[in-house]
Amino acid sequence: MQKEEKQLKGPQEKMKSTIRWKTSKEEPQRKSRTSSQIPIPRRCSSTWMMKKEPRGQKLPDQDEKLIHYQTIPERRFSTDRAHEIIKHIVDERLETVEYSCSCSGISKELSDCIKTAVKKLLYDRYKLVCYVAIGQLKDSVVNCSSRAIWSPTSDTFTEYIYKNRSLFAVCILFAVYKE
Amino acid sequence: MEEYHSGDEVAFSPDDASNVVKECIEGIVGGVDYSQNKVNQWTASIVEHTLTQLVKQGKPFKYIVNCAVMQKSGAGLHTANSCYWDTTTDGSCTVRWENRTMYCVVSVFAVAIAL
Repeated sequence: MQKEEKQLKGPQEKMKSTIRWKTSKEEPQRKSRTSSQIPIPRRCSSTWMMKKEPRGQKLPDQDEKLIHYQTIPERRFSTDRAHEIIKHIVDERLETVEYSCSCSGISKELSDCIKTAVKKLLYDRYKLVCYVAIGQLKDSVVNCSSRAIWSPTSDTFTEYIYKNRSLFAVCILFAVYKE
Repeated sequence: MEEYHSGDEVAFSPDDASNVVKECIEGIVGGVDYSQNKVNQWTASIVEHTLTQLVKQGKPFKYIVNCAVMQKSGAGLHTANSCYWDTTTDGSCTVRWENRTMYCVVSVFAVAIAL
């Protein structure tokens, strides 16, 4: 007896059922202890089907109603590309700048600029948070620490630290996927 | 999952987050003078504590907490942030704290999770 196993696909994937039927007219050869001598009529297979539509056809209404949750991004955020962009923007902007009160405006301008540039990479469903800190180099110590609760498979960050004669700049970009 | 508010979208409350952050900072560096040896430990503790307290609120958000501690020596520090997100559900808050010997700037960013 030939034995066939059929797995149901789709939302019912968790339920695996085996359907056994006789397909050969040859003398049955028992390969398994569990094979039955009594042939199971084909019509019994319909009792295993949860969907009521005819086999091989899909009802368009049901497909449209299915909600597809994409918990993982199709294209994961590239920190290398973002880092290149941040480096280019910051180096160009702060090359000739000396620390002064106007650095307040420069830090806002930089964070906006970085965010706009990274947005152009068109990563679908990614939210961006850009943090910039500009400080004076003057015998002081600054300690900066970040931590996040997020999904490590999809969310990420990149940072760049710049220093010239009179100031330092810390730029951090967080990319958070909308689940 | 029972901890999360299901159904309606919950907007981020900067005031609640601000209170949480202030309590965490006070608890860790309140009444203490700047110390080069301990500052690493302080920044790590502040972010960790803040995150723990925010998560305990049971709201459906991903959180990012950033903390900068600087010794008071006359040097200046400017911070700025720019966000690309859903303004109806996501939000941030920044708390500036200082004592006699140091400044502490903590920023919290909350990004909503769709349930």
